[in-house]
Amino acid sequence: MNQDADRSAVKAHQDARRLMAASRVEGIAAAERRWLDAHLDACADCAREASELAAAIDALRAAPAVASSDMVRRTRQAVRRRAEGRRTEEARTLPLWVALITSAASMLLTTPYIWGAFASLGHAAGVPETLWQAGFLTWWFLPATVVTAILAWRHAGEGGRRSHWDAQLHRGQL
Amino acid sequence: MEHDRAALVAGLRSGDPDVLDGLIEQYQHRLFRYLLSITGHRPTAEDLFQDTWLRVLERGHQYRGDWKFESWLFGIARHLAIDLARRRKAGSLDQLMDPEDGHGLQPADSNPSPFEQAASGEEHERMARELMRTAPAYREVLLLRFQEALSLEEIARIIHAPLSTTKSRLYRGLEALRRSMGVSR
Repeated sequence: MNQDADRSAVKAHQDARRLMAASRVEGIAAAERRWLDAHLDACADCAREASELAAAIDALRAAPAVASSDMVRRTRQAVRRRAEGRRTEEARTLPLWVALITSAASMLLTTPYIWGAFASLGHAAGVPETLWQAGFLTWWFLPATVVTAILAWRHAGEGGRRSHWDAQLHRGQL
Repeated sequence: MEHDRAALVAGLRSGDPDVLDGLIEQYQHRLFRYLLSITGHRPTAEDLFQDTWLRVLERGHQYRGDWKFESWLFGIARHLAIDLARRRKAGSLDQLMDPEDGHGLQPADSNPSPFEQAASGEEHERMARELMRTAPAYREVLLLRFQEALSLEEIARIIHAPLSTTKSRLYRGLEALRRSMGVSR
């Protein structure tokens, strides 16, 4: 009989502990809340644990950590500089993209005529077919090659400048 | 509210420096506190602070507005912290954030913890000390839940863990903290 009562008391403590944590983590049902409140009124040990848990959470909520104004200032500068760099780069690159797309569209439309022109000129000049076809391919790829080279060159330059800025910012020199 | 969210999404998408400036102002302390909680090391948290905002600028177009901004921000910060820890320790993600064995990026020294340095008052100092003794994986979810008041689903998204794991870490972390606070009183 006593063993049953002990077991029941232990289970009540375990349930109370579980509900105390659950009420903080994911919430508990109203009936569970009523049972828990009644148990805490009657059990000093569980009430003490509940009080410790509440104190721990209150202290956790109040735990401070302040970002230093210097770090925030440096971060703002770095972000603004990077953002403005990106915008400048986009503004510089936009005309290139427009030119590239226009060029591609016009090439698609004119390809049959240009092909015909290369073929006529090739036959008239008596050059081998592979030669005037190679000439046609060069003409075809030239604009894209030039634009790609310009973009790659600009990207490399921007990356280098960015690394330099970042290094300076990390050293606090800006 | 919806208008604010839409403006935020548009500002991030276009990389508007004024929008980013406002976000840094608004979230500076919360982000820094989160970074401290997962790194346990002030200089590392400071480096990651700047890296996180630069990454926000670079990846701003990926923010869709269906998450709270802070959840997305903490997700980026966490990702960078784990990348850094991997480079330094060459360990796996599981090892780094393992609740039992993982020590995050904490330096093995006896100096006051960054939270202790920031804390003033006996109670805050004691809390800071106990918090830093808690495993990083627990510390992280405790902070997200009780300081940031994020939902369980949001926390699970940030830590890339199932909801059940998130809850389990919270329960264990809370119990560890309660015990340590109770013992040290």
